[in-house]
Amino acid sequence: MIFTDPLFLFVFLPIALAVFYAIAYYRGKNAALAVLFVASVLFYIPFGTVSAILLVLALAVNFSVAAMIHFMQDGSRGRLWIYISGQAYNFVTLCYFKYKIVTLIFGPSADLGVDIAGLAIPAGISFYTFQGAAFLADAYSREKNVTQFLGKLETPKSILAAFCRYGAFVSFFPQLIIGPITYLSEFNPQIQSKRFLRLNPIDLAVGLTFISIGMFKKVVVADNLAPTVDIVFGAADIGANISPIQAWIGALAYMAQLYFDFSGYSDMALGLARMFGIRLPINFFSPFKANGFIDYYRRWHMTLTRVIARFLYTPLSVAGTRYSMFNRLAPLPAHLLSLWIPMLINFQIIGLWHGALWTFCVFGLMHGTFIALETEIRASKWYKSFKKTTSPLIVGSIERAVFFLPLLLSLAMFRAESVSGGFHLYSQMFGFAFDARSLFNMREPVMTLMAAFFIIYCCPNSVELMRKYRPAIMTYENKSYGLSILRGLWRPGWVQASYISILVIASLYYVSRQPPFLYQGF
Amino acid sequence: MLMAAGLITTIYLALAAVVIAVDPYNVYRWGAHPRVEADVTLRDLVIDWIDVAAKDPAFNTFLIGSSVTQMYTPENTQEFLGPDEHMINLSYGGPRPRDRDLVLNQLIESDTVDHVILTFDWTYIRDPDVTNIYFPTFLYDDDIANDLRMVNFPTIRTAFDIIAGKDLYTHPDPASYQRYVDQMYERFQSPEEMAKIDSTVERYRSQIGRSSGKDCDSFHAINDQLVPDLKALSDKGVKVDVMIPIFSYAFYYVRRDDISPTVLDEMMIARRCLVDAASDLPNVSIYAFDDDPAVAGDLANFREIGHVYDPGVLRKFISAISTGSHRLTRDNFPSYERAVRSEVENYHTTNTYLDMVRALPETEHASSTSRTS
Repeated sequence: MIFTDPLFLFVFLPIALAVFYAIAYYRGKNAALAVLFVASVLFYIPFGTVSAILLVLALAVNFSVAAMIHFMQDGSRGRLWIYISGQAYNFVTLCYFKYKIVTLIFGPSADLGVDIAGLAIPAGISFYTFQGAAFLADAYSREKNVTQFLGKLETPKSILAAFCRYGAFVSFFPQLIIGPITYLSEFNPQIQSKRFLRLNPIDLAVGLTFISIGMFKKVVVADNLAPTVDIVFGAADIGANISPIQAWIGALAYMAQLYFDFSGYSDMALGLARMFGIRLPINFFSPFKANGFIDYYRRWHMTLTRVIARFLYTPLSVAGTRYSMFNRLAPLPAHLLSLWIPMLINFQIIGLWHGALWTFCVFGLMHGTFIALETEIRASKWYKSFKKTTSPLIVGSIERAVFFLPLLLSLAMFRAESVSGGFHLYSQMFGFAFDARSLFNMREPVMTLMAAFFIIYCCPNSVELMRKYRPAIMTYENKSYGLSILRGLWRPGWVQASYISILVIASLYYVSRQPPFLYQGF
Repeated sequence: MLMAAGLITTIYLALAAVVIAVDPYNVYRWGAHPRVEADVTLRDLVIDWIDVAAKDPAFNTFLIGSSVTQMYTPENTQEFLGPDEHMINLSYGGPRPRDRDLVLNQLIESDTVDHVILTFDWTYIRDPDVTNIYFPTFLYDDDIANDLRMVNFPTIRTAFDIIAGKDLYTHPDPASYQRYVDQMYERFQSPEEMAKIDSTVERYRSQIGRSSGKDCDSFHAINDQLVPDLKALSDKGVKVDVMIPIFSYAFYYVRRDDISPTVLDEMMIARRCLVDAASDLPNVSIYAFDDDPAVAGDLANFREIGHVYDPGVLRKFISAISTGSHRLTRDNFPSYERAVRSEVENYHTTNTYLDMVRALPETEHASSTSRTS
């Protein structure tokens, strides 16, 4: 099921909510979390029965490994090996089912192994695998929430209850397909709280508002830009002549489509979770208002950034720094080892996380280079003195102007159907094929684009709009940029309900058209 | 806020219940059984009404085409195929393999079909899962869970129309389509447009004959969807006439920018594969006319490089079914393919209408231009 499907919104969700709160009232927390777990599996089954089996298997393996390492002594030799085998299971299934590693190595003509790998990529596999892997790491490092979360596991009933809690945590349907990747330290304190399971009208009102805004972003804005994007990138892929204006419109349309698609999903995820009394970490916080790539990654897919930084960048950077210090390397190689190489690897992995495509590789390389360059520039004396002597407004404007073009070009490569298609689009954007055949009627896409970029740059985001009600967990402390007029204005009332109803009705106008969320494919 | 949400949910579910009970698109066994007015051409509205038409015993002949065949009316087919051919035109703009397959599947399941006229559009060089984004696949697939998507504003209105007793579907404004086609022709028939096409033809002349490196195994939409559908219809005893639409020779130059740089080669191979796989099936015939440069080479016949305008050419197209002329077989396909490839590769923009206009004295020129509109 996808969030914008009427079956989900008008049938599944009301039933899930009613059963959850009824069971919570009569049977308590464990039973309510079991309801969430079962609802999440039911939500997932339409993506494929095999995918659902894989999900439950991943949950069972990770839960068993976490339980074992949790109850083993610290000095025990087997503990590390069990932990490694649990993480290996995550890594291997991801490589096998997402990256089709067997097909990559043996080619499509091999037999059984390839046939199984030939299944469609299980929806959300990257997300639930990363969440499971982070949980295992927490269990291995004896993070205090894990002990509380797992409980004593003395009887079959307590083991089943713990498994259902774990299942609800990892497969919680608002976050299952596209994230956010949540840490147990964010989830567990909420379900331990006395307020959890209390039906709070504010939770429902905030949740409904997020869902309405998110649905509008996805169904009305992003999906209306999609046809233009498909036409332009399809033409670029076959090396067609595209007029520069249409090439720019195509690239900008994708930028906006991706923004509203992911932002819409993220809003809906926050809203759905909030209706069950759970706050998820923020994954999306006005990323295009960022003043550079460093700021951008604190606002775009924030939970992936922090997982990769925790498990990859920080260990690599620390190892590089230590190696440089112990071996007394010169400043330049030391700098390369502690910053550039970890950064490039970090962004290469972020690129490849989206899939095994060369376009993602180039995208990762571009972002790694841009971030490393930005880090150097921001550390330079010249920049520091410029920042000190110039008005913050001017500095911010220049930073954003400089940031915009590399971001646009890198996202165009991210969307391109091939690397050559991406470079061809660049050549058309900066080319002179003004006599090229028009690929689409421009009036509607241009109007939609103008509205989209007005929202992106001039309006507060959903979290800012509802900040009075602490709508989510702050993944990073981000500054709010842009106009502040509407921030914190939202209150549950008839006026707001009318606005929200308009958004829902506008979205329902397009309800017959159901393109999946872009991040669903990653 | 909660009341608004509750209200919207209640109203939506109530309307959904009405729509599903009324079944305005005739996808279920229950509900109303609306019908389509016999002499109506539905054009793009037809995507919602495939089942309505397929289950209506008033129709026995179905034209499954694209924007190229949207102008055909029931009278056109009766003129050439006889009064027993009760045709409904199920052509819609921009068909893609998956939705075309769904349409054919509805006809395979129908008991009223005697004759199918199908266009073999360029879309068959695409992958089988490519779908027209506006086509309501949820109405015709096997997944009942997604049927709630049909509950949109036009469907709700149609359901209430049926409740009010209006269960005969008709086109809201048949004249607007003719105006649209005429305006399209007028815009296309201009020296500036021809100059643009001419420049494209010359730019790509050296590349137009390039090999795509594809063979019959490359076209899954033909092998896995179209040919099995044709076999199923043939096995049911349904007469199937596959028409290869008349694209102008300029089409292969201009559309290489958005279809494929090797569009000519791919389309020729795809046609060859279709003829090899289906021309020997009982009741199945395949026709093509574009090896005639007087038809496909002259842009005066077109309202756009891929859309014939001349009514004479259109009539010729449909009359071939009754006479059996221009039929493609395994034997004559190589000469047909050679002719089309050669004509396209050696094409020079030709427009006899504009040539005639240029040759006229100034006063007649003006009156001739006004006549086209």
